[in-house]
Amino acid sequence: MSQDINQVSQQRRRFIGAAAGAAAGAVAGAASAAGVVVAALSSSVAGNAEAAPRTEPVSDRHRWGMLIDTAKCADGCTACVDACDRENGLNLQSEPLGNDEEKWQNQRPVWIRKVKLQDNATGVVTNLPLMCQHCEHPPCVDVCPTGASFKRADGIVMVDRHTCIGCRYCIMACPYKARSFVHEPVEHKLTRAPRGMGCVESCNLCMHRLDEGQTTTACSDACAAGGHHAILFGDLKDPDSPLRQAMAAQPSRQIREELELNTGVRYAGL
Amino acid sequence: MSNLQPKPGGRAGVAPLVPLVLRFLGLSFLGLSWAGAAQASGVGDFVVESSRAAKLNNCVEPTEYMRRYHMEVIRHQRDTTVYGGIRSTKHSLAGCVDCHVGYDAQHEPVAINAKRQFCKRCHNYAAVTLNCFDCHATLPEGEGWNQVRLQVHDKRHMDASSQGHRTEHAKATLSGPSTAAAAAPEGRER
Ligand code: HEC
Ligand code: HEC
Ligand code: HEC
Repeated sequence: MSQDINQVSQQRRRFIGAAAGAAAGAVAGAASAAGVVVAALSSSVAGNAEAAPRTEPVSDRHRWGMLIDTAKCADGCTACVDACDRENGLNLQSEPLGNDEEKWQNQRPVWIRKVKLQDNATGVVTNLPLMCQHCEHPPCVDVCPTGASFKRADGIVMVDRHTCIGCRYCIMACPYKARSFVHEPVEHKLTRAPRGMGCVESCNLCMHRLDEGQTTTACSDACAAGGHHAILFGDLKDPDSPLRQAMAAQPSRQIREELELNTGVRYAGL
Repeated sequence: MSNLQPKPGGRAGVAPLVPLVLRFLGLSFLGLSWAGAAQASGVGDFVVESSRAAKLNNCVEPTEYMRRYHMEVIRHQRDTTVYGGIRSTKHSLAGCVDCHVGYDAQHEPVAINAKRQFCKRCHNYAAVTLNCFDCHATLPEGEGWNQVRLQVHDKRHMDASSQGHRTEHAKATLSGPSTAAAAAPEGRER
């Protein structure tokens, strides 16, 4: 299945530079070819998989991903970052006494960063949230000496903090600067988001929500609640999902697609 | 003391585990047998009075089994959750905390690894040090991870605020949602 998703990106990569309309057509074509098999696979589980807490281990029936429409991402808005902080207890971290404020802001674990790009030739400014891109071929997993950095069957790239030794190779390997290291002991934490000094962590697509049958993330909810609808979360393997439909309707791309990581997070308008 | 000896009949299912676990437990296991007998006269005596567990009769597995093998149970659940995404409350660490955490006079939960609280009191005797609570919450808070648990939790807070008295509060949880919670995880296991 991953092959097919890959094909989507490779197909469209051949069209980079060609007219956007033609490229979008090719994506849609490849996508619906992939879809037939997916539909057959997922129909038997469709009933219980979405409604209730999970009772069977995650499988590769789904691959979770996001489409981020940079045109809708508002300048100065941090709704997604704030929601992520609250959902995953990142806002509970307290600055160590006597620490340099700037150093803390640089080191404090965050899962989403708002990035602002400016094209110096035209002056055009683009805003986007950047988080773990949930690569199909994640470099952070390749370099991890203990196997703590791993890709869950449903495509979520994450850290098993029980085996993470805090070496931070994965932080160096990640092209997106998506991972954080917890430098300080954490006093206050949420049951759903354990966190402690000495481990690496990053966006896990709100897997605690997915595992209990919800199919939204805190960031996409917050973005929609703010009226922006820039973040669309969904199943990359379900051809009928709003995510895939949106991907078929407009051109999108992976950041650093030359690395051929086949990211699960795609950006439109970039 | 006799409580802590394996019962041959009932232990058949775990027999292959025993040598491994014994090796794993090593001396501290023996240490616990004495200390436990000296301090707590019977199995279940470590349960904190104000906790939800104090109002229930059973742990998630037979108490004697839990006493000896809870670390295996938790570790298994850990990998099931982290790699398999299964968040059943039956063997989860979050579940232990939720049921075993004690409450103070103001109905506020007391950190489960605090002095004289459930996990800590016994571990002190057995000279066990855990780093689990460096990361894991020691109070039930922010449990969005399970709908059943979330409902029970919300309900309990409502009960607590509407009826100030602790024993009242305890009764309400026992007759109402908590019994459902104790049964629910069973139902969800395959
Ligand atoms: C639904 C409530 C509940 C949950 C969840 C629960 N327990 Fe218990 N536990 C109890 C009760 C009730 C007892 C006392 C049983 C008895 O008196 O025989 C008990 C007893 C124990 C004992 C024996 C204590 C002693 O004094 O000998 C241990 C150890 C224990 N639990 C560990 C755990 C661990 C570890 C977990 C998490 C995997 C857990 N429990 C989850 C209710 C619970
Ligand atoms: C460095 C931080 C860290 C430490 C230390 C740690 N954990 Fe975890 N643990 C986590 C994270 C993160 C998760 C994933 C939570 C999730 O997905 O909900 C987790 C999940 C779990 C789970 C599954 C969720 C649950 O509540 O049942 C269990 C069980 C667990 N850990 C047991 C342990 C035990 C036992 C120890 C101590 C020996 C320990 N952990 C130490 C970070 C840690
Ligand atoms: C009745 C006594 C008792 C109680 C109560 C108890 N434990 Fe333990 N625990 C032990 C003993 C004994 C060991 C074994 C130590 C060893 O193997 O060296 C142990 C070991 C552990 C380990 C493995 C430690 C390691 O380093 O591998 C974990 C995890 C653990 N306990 C979790 C808990 C939690 C969580 C609670 C509270 C919910 C709890 N225990 C309550 C007696 C107890």
